[in-house]
Amino acid sequence: MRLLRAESMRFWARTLIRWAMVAGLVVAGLVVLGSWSTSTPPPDEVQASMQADFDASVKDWEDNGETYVADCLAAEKADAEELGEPLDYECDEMGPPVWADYAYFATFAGEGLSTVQLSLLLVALLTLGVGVTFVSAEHTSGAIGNWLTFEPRRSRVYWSKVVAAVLGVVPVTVVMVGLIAGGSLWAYDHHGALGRFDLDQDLRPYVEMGFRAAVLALGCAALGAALGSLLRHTAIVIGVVAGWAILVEAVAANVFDAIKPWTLVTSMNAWIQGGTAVYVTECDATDDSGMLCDWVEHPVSQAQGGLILTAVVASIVLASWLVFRRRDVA
Amino acid sequence: MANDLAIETRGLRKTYRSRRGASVGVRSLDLEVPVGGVHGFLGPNGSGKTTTIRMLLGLVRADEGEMRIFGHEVPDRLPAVVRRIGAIVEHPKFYPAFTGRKNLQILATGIGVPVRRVDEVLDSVGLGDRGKDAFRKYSLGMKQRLAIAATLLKDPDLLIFDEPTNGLDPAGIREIRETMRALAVEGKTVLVSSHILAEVEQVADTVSIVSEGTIVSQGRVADLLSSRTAATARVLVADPARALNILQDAGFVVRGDGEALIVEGVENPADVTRTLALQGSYVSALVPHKADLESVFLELTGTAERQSGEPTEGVAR
Repeated sequence: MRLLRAESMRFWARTLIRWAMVAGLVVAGLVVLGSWSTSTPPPDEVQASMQADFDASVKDWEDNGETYVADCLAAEKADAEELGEPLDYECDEMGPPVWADYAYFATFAGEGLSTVQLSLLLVALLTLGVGVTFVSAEHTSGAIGNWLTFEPRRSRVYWSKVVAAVLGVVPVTVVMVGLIAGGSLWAYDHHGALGRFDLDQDLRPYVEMGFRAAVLALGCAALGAALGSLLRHTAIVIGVVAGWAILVEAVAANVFDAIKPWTLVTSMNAWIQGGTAVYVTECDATDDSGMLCDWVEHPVSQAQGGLILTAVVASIVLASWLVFRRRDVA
Repeated sequence: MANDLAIETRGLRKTYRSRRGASVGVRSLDLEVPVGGVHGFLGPNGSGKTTTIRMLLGLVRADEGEMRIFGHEVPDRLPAVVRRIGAIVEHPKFYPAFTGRKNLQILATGIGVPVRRVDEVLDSVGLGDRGKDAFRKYSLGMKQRLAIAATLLKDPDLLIFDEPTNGLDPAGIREIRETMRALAVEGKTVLVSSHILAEVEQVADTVSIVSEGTIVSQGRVADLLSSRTAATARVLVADPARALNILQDAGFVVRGDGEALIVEGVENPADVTRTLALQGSYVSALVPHKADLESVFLELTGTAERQSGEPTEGVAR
């Protein structure tokens, strides 16, 4: 506990970390502000114009709807006869205009939720960075050597740093997740723009999503601390993370579709969203020796995403521990 | 292994391996530092002093050999004895952006020392009014003093100073020297590695000289000086050429040095004056030159020729 107390003191004494947290809170505030702005209904004159367009379309449908359907069926029949195969122009789905097609109001179920999900990844990115700088600064400055002359039990030293990094980001994680998730929902609700999001039915899964995002952020803090100890320089960690993001998550995932369900980005999305889906190109040989390719949806479960993320974080944290135990300290 | 030793190593070996190959840092090093007093640890650059200190402190792993501090085998039993050790390895390394006081507060919290002790040790090294300044703003001398303050947090029995006077001005060097002496007077053991041989000679009771990763000599400074190098004498006479012949005939090792003669291996300067006087050659001046640690060091480490023409400071590291 002594070591943890000392590490916590060091954590909160670092100006960079305090600024990073302030920046995180500002970003969270901006997300809420963005939600407020997006969910704000358009001015009355714009709404009146939308209403006028809608009313005109309704009248047009009432006057000519039957003709439009008849024309559609006729064209479908004529084209089918010409081509010699059945066609479906979906004429039976034609109907009166829908208000939602004319009123361009953003809803929480539409734009809001996906913005929240994306913004929650920023929390994880922030805690990763905080974990990295917290530990790597000690290696870069050489202060770790001095520290070990006071406390030579390296395992205790290592774990106190990882735990301090995780505990240290708890407040900012809770506030950021609360602001982003709660603030955005409040903004849309305030403007009556929840859309298909039903507070009675969907609130609990939504809160659970926030909880999972917070867990991911804490895991990222531990991962950051481990990477900071392993690579010892913030710049190297940034290089490795950026390299991974570009080479594996972007390039390789696009070249080799098969790895898409297993990438970290997919796993994070699956974990936060409670499951996701990726589209993979699958090609089959046709009878006349051609290739027929199709986009096939691959569902990725929340459990799979969580398992992959846990495995990655645990392996790097443990590997870093083993290296720190044995490594010569300059 | 003896109980009257603060530090003892046997057959210590460390090889650094890199893509360019292996280099031996320390080979079969047997170091003995008695309890109490100041022990100088001398050796040329790259001779293995800092590596040895790092191995003793568990910062670097030894490939072979045994180490004990106050009878405890290290690094395995280091946690049991670390509270009795204060160490500064090379340059003091603290968190640059934190104040001196904050750095020590963190250390104090980590080792379970009351935080009020921080102000006591800052005062004791003259940093009481600078504790609120960021470490990066400290001069090198202040950094060294802060490092000493950090070692004093634990009130240790053994203090290890690796090049503590590096970069200090004469006043700072004197301050460190007095601090080391004061600690020794308190009954503590101080191991100091320094490249300033005159400093070590002034402050050390015992000394170990390391060369190419192994100890070439160790013991009391006085014994080392009396046993390893005989004194020389610079003699001024009216007729140096005649005096040279007289002394050579009498069996002295002597050479001319301008108007003077340098007589080597003089155990008693009176022998020189008597020999010359008996032959009617009278000495106008005789300056005995006693062996110092520097000459012993150069003789033992064989660096005299390599160092010729260079200042002798900076020989050891």
